[in-house]
Amino acid sequence: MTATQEQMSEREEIEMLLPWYVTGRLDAADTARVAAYLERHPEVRSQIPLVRQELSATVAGNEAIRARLASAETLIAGAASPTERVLSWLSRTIRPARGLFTSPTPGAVRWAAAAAAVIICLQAAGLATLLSRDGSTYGTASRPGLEATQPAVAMIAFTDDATMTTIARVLDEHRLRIVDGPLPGGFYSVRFADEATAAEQQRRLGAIATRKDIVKAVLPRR
Amino acid sequence: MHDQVDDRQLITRIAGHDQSALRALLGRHQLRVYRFVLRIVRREAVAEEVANEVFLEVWKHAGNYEGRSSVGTWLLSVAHNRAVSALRKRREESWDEDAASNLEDEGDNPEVSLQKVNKAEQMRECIAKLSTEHRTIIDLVYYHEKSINEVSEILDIPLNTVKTRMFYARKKLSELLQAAGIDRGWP
Repeated sequence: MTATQEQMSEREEIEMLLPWYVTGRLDAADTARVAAYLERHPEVRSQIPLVRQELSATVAGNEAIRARLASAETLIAGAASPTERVLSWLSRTIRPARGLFTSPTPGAVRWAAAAAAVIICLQAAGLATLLSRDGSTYGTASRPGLEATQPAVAMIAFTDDATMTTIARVLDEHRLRIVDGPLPGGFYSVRFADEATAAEQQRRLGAIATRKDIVKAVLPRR
Repeated sequence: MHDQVDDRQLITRIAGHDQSALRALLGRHQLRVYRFVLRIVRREAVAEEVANEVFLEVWKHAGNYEGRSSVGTWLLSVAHNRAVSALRKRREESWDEDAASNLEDEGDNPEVSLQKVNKAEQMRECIAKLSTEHRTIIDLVYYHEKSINEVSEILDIPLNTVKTRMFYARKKLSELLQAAGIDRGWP
């Protein structure tokens, strides 16, 4: 390699380092090396303003970008699966009651008793509604109602985006009820709420499987 | 530049699912990550999705952060991987980035460009016309102020490649400026 070639090579190396020299992101050794070279070669120093122009244009180009960005709450809500969302809601609901057991006060106990009474009334109303739906008749454990006698017909996995509301609505449209889950793989075991024929059951399972926005997979049970 | 100790503390708290820590991290890095991604994928909807994925990954897997690099560098590294994947997927789905770049190159002729008063704006336009690879490295060095080592880590390329890629990006920029009627006298 001739002296001229060596000089050119050194110059190229210095030119390659100039952007970092200008931004102050070179290590101490390289910073000293570039500074010394620029001292000896003023013609290369004339490139510094070019680098500064590039820098300010790049910064301006980036800062011109505005965005509507997701909040932490939105991100976290999007991350949760339907099951996690329900568990999170339950956790938030139960949390205030913890204080009752750690440091009960007369007021808190009275409030708790009233809340318990309301919950019992709601449960009673809910049970009455469930019994009156689907034309079911009253049944005891020894004589189960129609729904309970229906066998599980399929396993369904829901998409991560599906909300509890949409899942409930779609299942109801197809007269399906969840009987067990979540099972391994995120599946839920379902059965029909009415006495549909085998062909009708097949048609409904096929229809629900097409709801790709909500349903990830449908596995018929043999 | 943020206090790196604070950023690392935020990551530790996020690993314990501290929402306020995630909020603070978003305040510091979300816009920069979004801008970085948008300059690669060039579509706002895709950039929003990718940027959200980056922070979702942080929320879910903050424990994976090993602390070998700054949090900002780590985030840009994750963002780059995801942005490139999104770009690749989009190309497979028939949208051609190079074709789009070529279309942009057919913009103003030199005469029209010369009439533009704002030279800085022309520079911005020429940077936008660079290939994704060249534009990305220019953004990392000038806007994100990353060192050679950090760029190497974010793009997963050797140190020498970082230097040569930046050099050729600048050369290409000069060529584009020259074609637009601006002779910088370099290279």
